[in-house]
Amino acid sequence: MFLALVKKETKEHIFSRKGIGFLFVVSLLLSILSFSFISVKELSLLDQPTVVMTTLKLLLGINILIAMVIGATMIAGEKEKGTLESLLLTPLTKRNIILAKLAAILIFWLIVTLVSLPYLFVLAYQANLFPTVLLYLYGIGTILIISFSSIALIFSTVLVSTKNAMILAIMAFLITAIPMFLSTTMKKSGLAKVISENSPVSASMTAMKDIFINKMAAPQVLIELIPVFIFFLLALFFALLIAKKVDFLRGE
Amino acid sequence: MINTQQLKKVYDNGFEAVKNLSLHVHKGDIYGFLGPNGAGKTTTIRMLIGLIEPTSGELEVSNLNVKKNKEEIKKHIGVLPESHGYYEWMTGEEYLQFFSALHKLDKKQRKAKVAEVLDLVSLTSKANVKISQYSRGMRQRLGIARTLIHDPEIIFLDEPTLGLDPQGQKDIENILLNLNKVNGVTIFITSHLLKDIEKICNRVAIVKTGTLMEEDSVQSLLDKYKKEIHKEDLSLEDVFFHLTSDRKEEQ
Repeated sequence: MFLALVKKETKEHIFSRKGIGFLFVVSLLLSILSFSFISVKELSLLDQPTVVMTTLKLLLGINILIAMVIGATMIAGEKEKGTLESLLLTPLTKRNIILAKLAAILIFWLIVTLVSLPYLFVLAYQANLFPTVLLYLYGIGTILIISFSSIALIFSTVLVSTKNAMILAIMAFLITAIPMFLSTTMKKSGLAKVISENSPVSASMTAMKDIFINKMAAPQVLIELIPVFIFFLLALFFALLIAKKVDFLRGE
Repeated sequence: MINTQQLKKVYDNGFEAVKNLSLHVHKGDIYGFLGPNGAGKTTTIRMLIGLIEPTSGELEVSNLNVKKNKEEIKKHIGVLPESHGYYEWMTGEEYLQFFSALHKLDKKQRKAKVAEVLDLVSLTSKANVKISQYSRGMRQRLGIARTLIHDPEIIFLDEPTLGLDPQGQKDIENILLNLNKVNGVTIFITSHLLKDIEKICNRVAIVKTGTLMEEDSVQSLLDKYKKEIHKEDLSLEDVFFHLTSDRKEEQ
């Protein structure tokens, strides 16, 4: 029964025009980026680890955004279409509804990563970084996707309109991504320092640099990733907690 | 089959949608739950199927206390909510397969059951057509097929004939009569088409602003109000207007 819902969600959101469109956008961006690494003189001078990191950053950024857009439409969309009431009248629990939708987003993530593997393989081959890329992609990448999707599902559950849920999800993503736009000097003082030190996005980027450039040992990297793990646990916990609020529109 | 005692629902904004409602539906009934707009019909159905909590009162469906057996109740009931949506991208068959899987039917059972309910609502020939191409009447029939996919004892239908043409209404009526007669399904139905309700229901309840005005067999109601209304060929519609019209209160 759980799998039936996962299958339906996958079909509706991923093997649909929307999902295929997203896949096309991702592969197009990867192609443009790969082409730029060869054809743009400045970019072609970059060392292999930096090239891999830039590609990974783009891949993660665009996928988190897509996962949030899909997640935001999942529950609110059912409310708008008037299909949630029928779903709630089946033996499925509200928590299973949330988990099935999360599983469908994960399937999308896996498909996108499969599409990007050839690009990453070519870019990381010479520096022998491909196993590390896989580890980062399927480890940290998956954790980030689950975390951000959970947040999008929370908005989708609480709000009635798909548009509002989507706007809030994108805003949440942009807020967490603020540290990426801060200069090194800004990150060293005041509120910017606090945000930078505690942001999961910032932590994952620092860890990425330490893995690919500084070749740091695993225990040290794991400590750096603590904000990512805390963010993951909190997002998932609140998504499952808010499952109780999965409710249809009340007419009277 | 369905028993409610002093059922009450007050929404968070203070609106009292249902006031001390006591209903009694017997096994095999086609029970018409009638009332003007805003009478609390949908709220009552939502309480009966466990989707919303009553403020007070007791309610039992299929001999189960709804408050204590919300999950168990789902196995015994089928519900067609008012103006609900469909997964437009699915075919009729895929839609029913999906819901049969959610109701834990195994693959073999699913195929047979989907074929059976499609036949029951005369949609076999349209089984592989996308729902987006279905007419309103076909959608309602598909909705009824979905309510039957797990062999429920009771089905709740909230305005199943709303917006249908006369042929569509007739089709739904025939399906319901057949279901009740052949499969023994108890039917709890709300509708504004009182002439049709009079034809298919054996018992009715009339509510107004959340209060039960009458509950009896159609014939008993007609007999009871014959003297009061003074009209030849008295119909359920006359009784309904007599009980729910504001003009009577003003007078």
